[in-house]
Amino acid sequence: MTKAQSLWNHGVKIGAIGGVSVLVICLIGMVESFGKRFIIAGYLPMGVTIALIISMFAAFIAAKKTPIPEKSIQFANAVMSGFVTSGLLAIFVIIGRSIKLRVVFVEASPVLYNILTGGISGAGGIFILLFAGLLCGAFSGLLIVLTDLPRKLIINAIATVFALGLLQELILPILNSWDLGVTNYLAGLFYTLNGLTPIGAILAVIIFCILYLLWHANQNTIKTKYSNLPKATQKKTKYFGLLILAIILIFLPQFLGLFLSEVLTIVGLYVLLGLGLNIVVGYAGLLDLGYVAFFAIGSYVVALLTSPQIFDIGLNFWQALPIAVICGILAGVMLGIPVLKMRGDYLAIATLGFGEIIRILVLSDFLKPWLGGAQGIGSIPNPNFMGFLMVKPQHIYYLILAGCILVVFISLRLKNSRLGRAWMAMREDEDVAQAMGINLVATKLLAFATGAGFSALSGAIFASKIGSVYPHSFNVFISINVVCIVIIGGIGSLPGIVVGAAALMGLPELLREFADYRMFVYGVALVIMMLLRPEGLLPEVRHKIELHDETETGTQTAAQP
Amino acid sequence: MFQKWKDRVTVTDIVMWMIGGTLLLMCLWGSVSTIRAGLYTKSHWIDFVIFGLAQGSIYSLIATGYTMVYGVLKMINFAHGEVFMSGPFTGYFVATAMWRSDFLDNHPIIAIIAIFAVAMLISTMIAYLVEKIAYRPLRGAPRLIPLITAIGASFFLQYLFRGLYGSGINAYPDVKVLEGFWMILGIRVLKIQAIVIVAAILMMIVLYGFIMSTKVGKAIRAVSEDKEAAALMGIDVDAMISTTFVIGGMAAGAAGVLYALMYKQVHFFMGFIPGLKAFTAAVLGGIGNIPGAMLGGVFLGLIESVAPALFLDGLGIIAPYQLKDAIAFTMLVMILIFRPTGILGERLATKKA
Amino acid sequence: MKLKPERKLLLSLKGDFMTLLSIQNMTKRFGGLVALNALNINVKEKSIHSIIGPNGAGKTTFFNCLTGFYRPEEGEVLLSGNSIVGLSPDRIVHKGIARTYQNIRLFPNLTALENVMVGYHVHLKSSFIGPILGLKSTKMEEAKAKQIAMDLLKYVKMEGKENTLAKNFPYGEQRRLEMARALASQPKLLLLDEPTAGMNPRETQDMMDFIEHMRGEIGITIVLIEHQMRVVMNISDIVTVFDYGKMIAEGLPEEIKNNKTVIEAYLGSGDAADSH
Repeated sequence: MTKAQSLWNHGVKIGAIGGVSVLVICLIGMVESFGKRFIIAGYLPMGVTIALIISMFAAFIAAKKTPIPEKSIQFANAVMSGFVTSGLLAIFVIIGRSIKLRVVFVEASPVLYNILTGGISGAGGIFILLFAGLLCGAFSGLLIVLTDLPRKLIINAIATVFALGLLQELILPILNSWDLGVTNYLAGLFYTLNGLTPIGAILAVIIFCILYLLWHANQNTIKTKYSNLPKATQKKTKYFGLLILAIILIFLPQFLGLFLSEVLTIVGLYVLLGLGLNIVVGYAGLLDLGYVAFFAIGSYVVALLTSPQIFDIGLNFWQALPIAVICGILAGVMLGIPVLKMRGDYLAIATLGFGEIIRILVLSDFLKPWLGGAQGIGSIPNPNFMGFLMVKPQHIYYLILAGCILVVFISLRLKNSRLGRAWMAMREDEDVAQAMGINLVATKLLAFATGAGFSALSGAIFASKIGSVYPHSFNVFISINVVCIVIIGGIGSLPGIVVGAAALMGLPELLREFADYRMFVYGVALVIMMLLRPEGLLPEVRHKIELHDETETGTQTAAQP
Repeated sequence: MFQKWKDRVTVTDIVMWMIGGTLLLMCLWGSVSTIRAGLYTKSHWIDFVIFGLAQGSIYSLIATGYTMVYGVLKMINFAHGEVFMSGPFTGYFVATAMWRSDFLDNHPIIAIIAIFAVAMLISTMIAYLVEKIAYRPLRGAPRLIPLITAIGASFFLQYLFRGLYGSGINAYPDVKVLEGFWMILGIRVLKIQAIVIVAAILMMIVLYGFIMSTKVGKAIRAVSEDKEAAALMGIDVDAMISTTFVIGGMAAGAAGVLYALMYKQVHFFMGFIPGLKAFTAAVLGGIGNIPGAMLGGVFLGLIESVAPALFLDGLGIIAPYQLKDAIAFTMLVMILIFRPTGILGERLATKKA
Repeated sequence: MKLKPERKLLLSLKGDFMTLLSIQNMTKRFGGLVALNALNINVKEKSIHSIIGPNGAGKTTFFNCLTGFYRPEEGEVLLSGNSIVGLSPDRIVHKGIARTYQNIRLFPNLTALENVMVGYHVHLKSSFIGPILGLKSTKMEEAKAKQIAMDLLKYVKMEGKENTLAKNFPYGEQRRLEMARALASQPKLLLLDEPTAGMNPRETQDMMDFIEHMRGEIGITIVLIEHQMRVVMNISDIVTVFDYGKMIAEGLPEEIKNNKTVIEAYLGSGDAADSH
């Protein structure tokens, strides 16, 4: 491949892909609506940051994919890619300023053009845009040219600043809530009301670099020291870690204010749902897209049994909870029986259909006398724990935490049992699993039933937390959200689900502007995940064991002769 | 003897037959009591049937896309509903522009052709890109992975178009020539419904002819029979898979415009339910089977239009039309249980050990 | 070819050994195609019984019918006198038949140990409650299962590799792991589908030794499908030849080697051979 060909194939083409990507996020309004939120106050709005990161990423890929091992060519490709990206945007701005694109593309507003051109109209703005693109490209090119350590350092430092800016709504309230001299000082030093202070950003970079370099220098010694510790001490360290985790989890709502606790309960409910679906999808390999149905069943059972509306049975939450879970399990079996014989994609669609059937039935006028129709059921009492009324999200949090701990415990216990192995065997190869004597019917039903039970538990807590249930709370997006959590977090991995739920459900709550783009981003994330990293963000631990073993056997065989 | 029987019939078989039997009995009971009670006149039923045919022929067009993709890739293109949505949603802007300039009423035929052209172009493009970007790199991956990708692509497209064109419901402009009704054999038929039926039938004939008798059509069929053998015969498998998506996209785009002309509205979520229904239709006809998908679509349209009145009204269910989607999905589940090969499923799904 | 002495014990079709598996008049059709045509085969206890035949003769279909994956249209299959025809595959494993596959089918993302423990599934009882509550019986059962699985891994010379994922083993070890998994169900009858496929002469020899060893040590009855004549002639007690779903010959390896019908089936009919 000649240099010119490479420039065309890698610089121009990848730059064009980057340009189209940035254009898409501009046109769907992400850049503009994130324009009011700043990463670094006064300097760097988040929308622009996202656009910059995408164009830098494209340039980085362009340089990395260059097959010619000459640094200068790689650098040129990166610059070219950045330039093409900004060039496409420049063309868009020029067109947009002369034709009213807004008739079709609702977000193509003058505000957007101003953001893209740094607020300068006319040719000067276009020039700035192109220059920014060149800079992005040059920056990525520089990263490629650098050696490994500084490259990692720079990328991670940028990521840290971005994360600090992104998580302002999380960090700042916590700092403020302590109301000590130190925390107030830190809060003032690092944050304005909207974004990091420039000094804060610089400080963050410096602190991060120091920590990173320290870790990098001592990484190996720490690791060997740890592995040289006696087994008992290692175990103790592990228990100690767990203890700290437990303490943090118990006191977490005390640090967080009302709003963050509310977010935490939402994340917690999704963790619960995710853990349940993980049994069905992660362990047993059955893609269930109608998972929301069991969530709805759990909610409605609690609503019907505790609310004074409709039947006025007047049970309390604790009496209704087990009934809700049992109803969920029964529903799981009921759904399980007809769809047992289906495989893969058929199962997905059939369960999706089942979820819709439940929603349509609940919504219908036909069942209105019993289920409340579109108005739903209200005035569900809050749970009462030994005379203590759980009203605030901080209280409900403990309920959810208890549920999560129970479900994690059951998941772990089942995973290493005959049943868990049967599920995983079924996931790997259904026919062979059956030829090993596994009764597919019973095994699948147990998976469905367990997952459904967990989902109903989550639904029951949800109903008593919100105080009312409506059919519209149980649409297909809940199912899709949970599927995304399980898959993006890492199929079969429990920590992955917690991280997945926190990222996918917590972030949109913190960044309200994000809510509109939530499904868009999930969709992109699912596709990219499947293309690049199908095992998820935090894959199941067994992959680590596998690597570990390989190195061990490798050294053994090397030592033998 | 009992022991022998017990080992061979499972509880699930019995439960499934019981569920099926109960549903069948309910349908029969409902039909008998509806007809006895005389709730609907003959002309009502005729209206139901014609509406069902129109609705069903749209499903048929979408279903061919599902079935063809299933044929060549053995996967469900979950994003097909969004391919269906993208065309008419874009076509809306062409339609309103022409309506504003009175072109739509002065030259209705040219205008409608233009709408079709734009919509089919966009749908085709989306279908092609989805295959190229999301599915092609995953050939040979475990089945769950392309399925999840397809779900991701589906939501990506929905919210892409929501972001681009806005989240509201956009009303398609009225086309004067399509309003009113014709008397056909003494039956009053809405013009738009008649046109939808005729247009869909014409398109399906063209499509079927293309698949059955052109060289490309034969190559596609060869790929769906056996990819490796087709490749050995010198067929470019990837190109044929792309072509399949292109054809499916064209059919979906056309179906989308018909849908938009009939219901007069478009929005970003419009592809979801029709997509599921069309999938149901494809399964109904035997997935992988093109005439089956066409037949399945029409059949599903008819059931959906007639069944709420026929089966449910007689059972004393209020507002049965709210449950028409539930009927369609129940039918999907029942078919997957009792006849997974569909109505025309001559190809038995042989498992390989 | 010289006969090994222990073979002589099992040589006879008419010998005193019990019939373990009796197939009577088994017929399997796919649409119009008759894949298996009225088969009558008796497998003696503790014998190594080979099934040979040209490609497409119905050998794997025969295995699939025995393991319940396909349901034969006609005929009877008796295992130790009990009918097993029409049972689902998992029920048949309970009755005592295990198998391996021509193209190895392990559970790729499970470890070696887990693979073998899945094989032991039928002998475990715990279900849902036991593991959750951590009942003593469940724990003991699990410990025993693990022990047996470890022993089996040792038996197939794979000790120390129990935590490696199955997909990461080389071909030969995957074959042995699959064998261990099949043995874990402690079957009376083991069906091996081309156990030496894709192996070099040395590996083939190892596998042959292993199979003989298995019969000798564990006392298991083995039916195997095989293409390599060297293997068939060396280790089989009885050979059955299939062609177009029909049994065309049965007998001692030596008899089969000289059987005219068999030679014709493999090389085409004599007339055709003459004309060339």
